Amino acid sequence: MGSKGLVTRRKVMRGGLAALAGGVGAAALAACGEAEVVEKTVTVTVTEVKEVIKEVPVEVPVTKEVEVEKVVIKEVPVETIKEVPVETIKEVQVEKVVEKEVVKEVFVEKVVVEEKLVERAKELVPGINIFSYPDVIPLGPYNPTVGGEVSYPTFGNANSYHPLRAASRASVEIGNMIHEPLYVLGAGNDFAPLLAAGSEVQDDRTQWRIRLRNDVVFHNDEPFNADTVISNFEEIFDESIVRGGIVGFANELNKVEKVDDFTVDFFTKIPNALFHKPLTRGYRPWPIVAKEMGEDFDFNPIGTGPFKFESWTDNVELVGTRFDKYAWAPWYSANQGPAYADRAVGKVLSNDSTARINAMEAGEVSFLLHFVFPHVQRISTNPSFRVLGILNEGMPQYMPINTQLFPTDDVEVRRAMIEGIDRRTVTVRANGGVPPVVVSNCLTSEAVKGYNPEVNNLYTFDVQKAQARLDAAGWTLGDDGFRYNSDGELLEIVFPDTGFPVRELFKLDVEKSLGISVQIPKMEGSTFNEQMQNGAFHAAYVGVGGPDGDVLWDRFHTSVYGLPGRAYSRWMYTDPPGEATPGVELDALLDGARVEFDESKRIDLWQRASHIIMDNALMIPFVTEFLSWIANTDIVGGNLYVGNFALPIWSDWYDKRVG
Amino acid sequence: MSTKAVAESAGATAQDPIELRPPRSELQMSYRRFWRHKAAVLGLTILIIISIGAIFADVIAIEPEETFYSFDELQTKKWLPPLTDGHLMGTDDIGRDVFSRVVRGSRVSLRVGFFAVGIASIAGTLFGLAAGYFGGWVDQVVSRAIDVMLAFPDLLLAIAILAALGPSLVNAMVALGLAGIPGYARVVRGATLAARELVYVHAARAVGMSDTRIMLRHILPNVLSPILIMMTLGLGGAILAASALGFLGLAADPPTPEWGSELNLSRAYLRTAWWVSTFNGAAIAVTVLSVNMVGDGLREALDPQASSWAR
Repeated sequence: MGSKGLVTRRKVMRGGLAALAGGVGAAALAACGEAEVVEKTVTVTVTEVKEVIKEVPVEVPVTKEVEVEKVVIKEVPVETIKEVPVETIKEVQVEKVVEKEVVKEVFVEKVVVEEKLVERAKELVPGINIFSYPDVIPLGPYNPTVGGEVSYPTFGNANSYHPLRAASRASVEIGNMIHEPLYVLGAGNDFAPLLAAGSEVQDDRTQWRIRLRNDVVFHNDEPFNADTVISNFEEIFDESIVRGGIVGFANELNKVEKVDDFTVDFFTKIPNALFHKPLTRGYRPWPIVAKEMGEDFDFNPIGTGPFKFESWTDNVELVGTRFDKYAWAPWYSANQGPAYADRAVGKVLSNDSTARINAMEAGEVSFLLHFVFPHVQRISTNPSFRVLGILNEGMPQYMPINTQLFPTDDVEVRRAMIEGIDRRTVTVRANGGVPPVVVSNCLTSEAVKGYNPEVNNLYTFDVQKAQARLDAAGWTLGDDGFRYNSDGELLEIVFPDTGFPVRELFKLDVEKSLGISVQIPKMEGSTFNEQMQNGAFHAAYVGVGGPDGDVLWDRFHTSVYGLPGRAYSRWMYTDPPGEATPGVELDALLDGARVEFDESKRIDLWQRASHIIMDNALMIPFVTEFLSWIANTDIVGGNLYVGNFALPIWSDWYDKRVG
Repeated sequence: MSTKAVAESAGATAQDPIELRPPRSELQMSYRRFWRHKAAVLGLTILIIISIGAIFADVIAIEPEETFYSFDELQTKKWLPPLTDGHLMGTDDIGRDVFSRVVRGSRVSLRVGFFAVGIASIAGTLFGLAAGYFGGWVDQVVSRAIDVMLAFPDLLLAIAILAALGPSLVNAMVALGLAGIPGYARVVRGATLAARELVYVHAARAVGMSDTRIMLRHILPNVLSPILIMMTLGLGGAILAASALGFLGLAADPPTPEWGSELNLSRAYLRTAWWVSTFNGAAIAVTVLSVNMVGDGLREALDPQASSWAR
């Protein structure tokens, strides 16, 4: 009787028994672990940092202690200031005087906001140490020991460790033990130099002069200097070779020129006050010898980071050994010299939360990011583990709405959705079971430059008001519980299911509360992207963070519509993207903010853009992201830095088991 | 030989006749053999209970299918362990009663199983009959197509078909059905090749019966036993495959309860709220096991020579 296609009894019995065994096994596992809630005393540390001085190279983070404790902050080395030409120093002094008064106001407001957010989070997520982003978090008493091994997990496999081609999260995150950028994100969402020594912009605002550190060498003893940068950008501009996300940065540039051995000029196509942003993550220098190595460099990388490449096992781990000449750690690292650990291991873990928590409990990794909150109860009983919650005060998770598709082309429908959706409940599952800490009412959240308090008050959760709004707009409730217009057309939206956990609760809530039918067809990723770009759906769910209002440009400037991953809202379109009528006013505000070097004016432009976006209900804001970390403090010591574009502090961690 | 003659030949006298019962039909014999198979009876009982549960799911379930608890309600509703606050199997991460979802999930799983097996068996039988009866180029085309389909594992083939059709519950049924066709077609073709050479088939052809009539009236009844056995065993496989597709997010759309997708959602908190995945996993296991036990009994009843009875 049939063979391959035939489902044999033995095969099926085996499957059934395996499933039964799995169920019994799960029960046994659960029986072994008793859930117990442990309350922990929470110590809150709030760090405040002075705003970046515009047009000058002194991105000096300033630490201010607010109410509770303080954190170790490393300042930019003094010699970098000395290198600035005399005339520039004069400029610096003038700018400092002018800006101090402005900064004071921002500072007071920010402290209040951070305190408020942290207090709210503490109430909603008891038992977890809450920190505000971006903080430096001590894992415990800082008693570094030399030797041993530290490990850090990431999500999924790496595609390459060549900064030119690195595209996946793993490539960048664990690859950062080897490679470093010119700038890192500073406290207060500003930029602090790492391999750079400072920068200044020329009068025409398109020429940025970047000064490089003169004491940096690569792992192969090749010096890091202007020739390195020029060589790197020759490759970045070369369309004939395979390049990664860095192409986006290259497209903003006209050219890069060497000024002297440690100075280069970047020429941007248009003035860009936020020029440093791509230098924090997009560009990480690599040695000139990489050109000769070609694709061999992908998994035999050479960088300037605290660890030298030792080995790479596909889909398993990246191993680095200490680079003894290292002496240029980022500002947030307490240790500026060579790393303490002999070896650093970047582990590749899957996205499966149970597998990740198992790896953590088995001691395979010392940290875990993004675990599922139900595990907290069990994990908290382990005295070795420190559970941390970090408020990502950037752009909240949000859902863009297609304004060109019936029925979401009706602004009243969009407004009713913002008002009538129970956003706290809808996002519970998406946030791993934790109650959303902060429900957001606009795109730029409270602690971010560009936040507009007026916009924040445009909408409040009120189901009755939302229903009345739909009634007034001519959407009447039918016998089936759904709304129809006077032509008998159903009020229905399509929200494709790409596996994101918000879909189910969203459908239940919107149908029950508002009478809007929600279709959530299952969709494979590439199909979804393709159809999304063509404007086939009414909504999609997105979660992103950003340090300032420029995220509005990134998401809502009409020039990005139709690009992969950026075709969310189709506001103001009357034609397909190629022939679209742009949102002139919104574009002008967002473009203006990019070229505006006066920060207060730039913030004003972002606030006005934010008002347009929310008044027209182009998206549904949900909640501020809440990141979760666990650290095994028996294994690892040092500090965690949880700034956006987070770089693990490889040079600061030490193995507590040594000695 | 008459009954009396049989009695006499066995040594009985004409004055002392032995009453012999009339011989049972093949169907009656099969029926008796099935009911003597204890595992099959147990499996059938379980399957009937599950089927009743599926039919009357809305009556048995203690909460509506589209339950939505608000944020405040969730604080007291979510992750309740079994036998808490009237929840026999506890509640899930959004406060829904697991028992209600398991009961409703049986509807989906059984529906997918029956539809998939129905599509596979009907189409496979027709193709197999045609290939075996007509032979020649028809046989060549069907056999090569079967060979191509058999080159892929069932589940992978179903996933590939779903990728083409788009993931949904209906498409999952169709995909599993299409993936099951070659198995039936190959078995029926083989049986038809043997049956078409039997004398009564030649006789039917000689008296001018149409090919369709010969196939359906004279050959099909002869190949029905292996088809029935395959269908029963295939049902278990289809339920398991449907759960696998659900687990991969390729079957029912949320919030429709489906065992596989529930298992997938709940594995994230398996070690904390074990009951959600355990009860859904157990539902799959028990259903597949019961279907297989019925299939086992059916095979022994319909094909005693191949069964343990004969051995």
